[in-house]
Amino acid sequence: MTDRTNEEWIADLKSEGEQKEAALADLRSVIASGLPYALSNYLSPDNPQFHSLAEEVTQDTLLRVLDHLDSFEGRSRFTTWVHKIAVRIALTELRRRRWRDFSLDSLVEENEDGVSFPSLMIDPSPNPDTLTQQNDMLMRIGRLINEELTDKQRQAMVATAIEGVPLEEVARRMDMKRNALYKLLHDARLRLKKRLANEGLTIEDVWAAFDRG
Amino acid sequence: MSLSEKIKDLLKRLGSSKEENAMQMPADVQKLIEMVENTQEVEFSCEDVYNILDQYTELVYHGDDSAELMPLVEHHIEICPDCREEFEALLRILEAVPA
Repeated sequence: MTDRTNEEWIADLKSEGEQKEAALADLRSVIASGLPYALSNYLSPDNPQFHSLAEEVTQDTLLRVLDHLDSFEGRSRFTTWVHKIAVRIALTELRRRRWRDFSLDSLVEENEDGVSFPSLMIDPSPNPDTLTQQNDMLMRIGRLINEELTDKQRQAMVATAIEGVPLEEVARRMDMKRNALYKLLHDARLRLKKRLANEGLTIEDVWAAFDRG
Repeated sequence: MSLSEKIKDLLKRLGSSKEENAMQMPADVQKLIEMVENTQEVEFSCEDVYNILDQYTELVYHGDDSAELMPLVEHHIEICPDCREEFEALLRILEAVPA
């Protein structure tokens, strides 16, 4: 396979006939060479699913590269840029398959107050055996979350941070783009941070309420 | 060590009587506290990071100081598992595929 400079890649891919065909064939090889490493944590090349997934990803990557050739700014190697696109396409598809059966409804049921972090659903009834210091702190945090975050933010936070659902899987189920969901969550975290500061509640205070062990 | 780990460690070393039914901080609350702790006023979004992930990953691959050169990308990668996963995959490729 010939080594092309960034400029040569762009020129060849924008050309016609054999020059373009050769570049496309080489680009296919580039993509294919990277995929086993991209997928190594998830799918081995020995796995029967690997081949068809690799083929699908390679094809989609080629199309996306050609569509977005003009957006390549030359700040990295062209092949790195291409591998990046392939990684995004491959992992998006893997996540979609892995989380196919997941539903947002499966998350912990909200109690009357709407708090959905499992540990914050505390039964507030007084009990001499319960640990009031810890329960008070948990209830305080629970109330704070309830007051600062929208239902959407709470649900998204539990799904992504606690259940480990990929952002784009949660986003799709909420009819949003991944980027918009990130911003929603960032806003949620900022609100909590500011609220904690306003209450004069430091991280140390929270830790102090619990067992040091 | 993170701030919360340092505090926990300090308290442990100061010593405290362990009560039989003492309660540990639940994992999900701990996760929440850490997330809030790591939140910055200004953060890159996933799209911001994706747009320059190729540059960033090459920096890391070449051993350059990515934290200094691209602090917002670095921070986002630390806190966003999905972008981190993509970064690590791209890095594996750069390390494995001959230039």
